[in-house]
Amino acid sequence: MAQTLTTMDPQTADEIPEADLLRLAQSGSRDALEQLIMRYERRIFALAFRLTGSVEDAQDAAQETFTRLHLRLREIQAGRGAGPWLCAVAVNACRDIGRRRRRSRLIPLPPAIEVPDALTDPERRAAARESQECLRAGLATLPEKERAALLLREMQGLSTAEVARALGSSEVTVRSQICNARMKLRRFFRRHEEAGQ
Amino acid sequence: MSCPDWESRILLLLEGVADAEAAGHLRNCPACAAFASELAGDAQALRTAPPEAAAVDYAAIRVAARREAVRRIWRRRVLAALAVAAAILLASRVAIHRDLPQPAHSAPVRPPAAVVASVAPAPTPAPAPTPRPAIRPARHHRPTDADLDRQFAEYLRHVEESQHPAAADWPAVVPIATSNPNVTIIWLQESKGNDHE
Repeated sequence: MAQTLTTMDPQTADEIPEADLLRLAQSGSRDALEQLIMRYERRIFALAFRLTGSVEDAQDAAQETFTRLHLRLREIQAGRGAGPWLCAVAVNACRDIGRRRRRSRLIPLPPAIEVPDALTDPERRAAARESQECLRAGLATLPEKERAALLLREMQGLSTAEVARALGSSEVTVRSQICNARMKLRRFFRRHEEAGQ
Repeated sequence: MSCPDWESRILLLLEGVADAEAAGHLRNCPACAAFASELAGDAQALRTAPPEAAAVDYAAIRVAARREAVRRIWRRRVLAALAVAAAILLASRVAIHRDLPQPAHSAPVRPPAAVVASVAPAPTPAPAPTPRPAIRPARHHRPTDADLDRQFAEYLRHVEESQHPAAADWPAVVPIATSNPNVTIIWLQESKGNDHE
């Protein structure tokens, strides 16, 4: 399969099961590793963006995550898949970036990239933008661990056991963190809705 | 039990914790059903990818991650090589020092008395230690004129002795018998110089 991957078109490469792709990458196939990264890059960036609230930090965290994937590819168990491992590395990278930023007292920059608007209706576009801003502000109010636990569950679809492994906590702690985060976020949205009315 | 009291149990129920009582309450309470519906809406908002994720240059992140991984691998190799080189250098220097003869102990260097007095004047001057003669390294002895004269005299004496072996017993006594047995002539042989007088 390794010898055919280089000549395979991207559509066919997408059909390869992740476990096979991971084994190929671990056996030295650079194309398989590229395909693996391409499968996860959007999800990892989205997770990092929701965790940090900054496009630049999210890009840095995504780059750091994939750098570590290059270096520690053989540590990943093919049976478990690369997803939980990458999510755990991304959470740690975001934590490191947050610490560096606090140490250097840097202020998070506004997004420097041009965000495309899929909606043509100006009212709906404004509502969507406000909804995204509200979500970003609500997540920013959560403690770091609760935010990470909630995002790993909801965005990445990890099980309680996988979230616990990624965060180095027990399942009971993770369940409690997720419940607390949901409740705090709901209260924040309620206050925001009440203030808007 | 009022509805806000049920909220924490409903949150755990949605997390997969079995609670028949809470499930029954949720079926019959419109307020708690609305709360559960709001939580589902929040989860849906979290699962939606942020619009910023569509505008990121992922290819640039992939390239940067690969370059950074290569850079870290080379840095590790260089550091490992430097560590080995330092260990070898250290080991060779230790071996050289072990083979060399121990140097003669030198006299301790004492600071000038004037400087010591100006920095910290002692109330009672300590007795000056007896100066220890410094052991100087052996130097080539250059012979003086007297040494050369003495060596030349010894050389002459050696030549004289080799030519006249009896000369070493100056003054020699040679008995000469005569016709009268009561008369013996004693011949005292004298040297020309005054050395043997």
